[in-house]
Amino acid sequence: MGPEDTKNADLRWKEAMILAQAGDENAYRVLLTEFSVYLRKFITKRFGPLEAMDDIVQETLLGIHKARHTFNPSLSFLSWSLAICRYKSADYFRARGSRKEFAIGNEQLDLFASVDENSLEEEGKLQQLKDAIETLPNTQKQILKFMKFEDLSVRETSERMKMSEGAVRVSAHRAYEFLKKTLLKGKK
Amino acid sequence: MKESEIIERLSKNLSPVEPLWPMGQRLLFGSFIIISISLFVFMRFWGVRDDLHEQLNNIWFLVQMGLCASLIVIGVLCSFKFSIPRVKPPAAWIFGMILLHMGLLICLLGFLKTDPHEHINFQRFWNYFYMPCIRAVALFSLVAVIIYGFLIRRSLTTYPLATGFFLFSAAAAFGVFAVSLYCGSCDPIHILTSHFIPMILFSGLGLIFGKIFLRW
Repeated sequence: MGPEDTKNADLRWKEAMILAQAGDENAYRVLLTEFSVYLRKFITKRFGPLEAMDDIVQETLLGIHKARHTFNPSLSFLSWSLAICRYKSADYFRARGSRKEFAIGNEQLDLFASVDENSLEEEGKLQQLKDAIETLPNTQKQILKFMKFEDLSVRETSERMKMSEGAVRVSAHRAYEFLKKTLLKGKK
Repeated sequence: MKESEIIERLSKNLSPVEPLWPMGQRLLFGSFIIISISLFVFMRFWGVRDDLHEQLNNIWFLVQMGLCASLIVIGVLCSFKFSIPRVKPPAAWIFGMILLHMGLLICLLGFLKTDPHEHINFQRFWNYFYMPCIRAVALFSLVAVIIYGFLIRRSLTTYPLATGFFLFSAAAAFGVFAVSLYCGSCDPIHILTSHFIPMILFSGLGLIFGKIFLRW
């Protein structure tokens, strides 16, 4: 969404919010539906991929609903609603610990995806890796199978596993960390 | 619960909302109630200081009262502004609050000039704290916090600490304003220890109040 689109969307949402303040259900439903899509992009841009994405979006929508009487039509809808989003996300992270616990970097997944099976075989580590994978919880094992052996993307894996993308990333990250530790231990 | 279900639930049976009162209206309404309560307390129980008529000719007293009144107005308006998501008061207002506090200190020095105090015993500084005045400052401040706090209860702040701090600063300034009409002492050390220090401490309590009670 470019700056011009954002500006137009802001004006459209502001009008919808004014109607919602007067009790228009349809305008409010459309507003929340459209805005939640924007909100996901905003949160991803601000915090990176998060396991808690769904929670923060829902908290923000509830916050907007609760505070809708404070919206001043002379101000921008986006700045008002994003202030609520920032507040709610800060509150969320404060209540549950650092946001780092909820984030997972793409580079870690890429690193895992780039592990070369041949080099492992040469080092005699393949069997060790297979054994370690067997000890993983079923969900993590399944996620690794989809991402590593079937080359599925995070999104495709999340659809198959019926999990959020963030949850898939976190599970993959944990599995990867566990395998790394196990292999390093074997090396020593 | 899925996002679509939440949206459906929130938009179902949506009722019209009552907008917040304008800030000026809330300020006048709150101040009217607080002044009425204070007048009742003065007339019914405490009475005003004996030398109030003389003090009204004392420039330092008038400046002190003026500064306190300004602190009340700016503090309340800042807290009203901060209490709405995204809205912040102009920086000049916050800067003005700092200047007004400094002004009060200068005012104390002015008192000291008109009433030289040569025997300050810093080793027994604690003795200068006079509990009845401190209690009165706290009492009047508490009344102001309750009334102005009631007027921000519907606005949901995204800056709870700042809102709490300015609310309590304004309330504490009201406490000092009211006690200055009741306490007959012109001793600057007494005013510092029993009026201004409680005022600053009470303002600080606003941070805790904001952190605990203004989260939503």
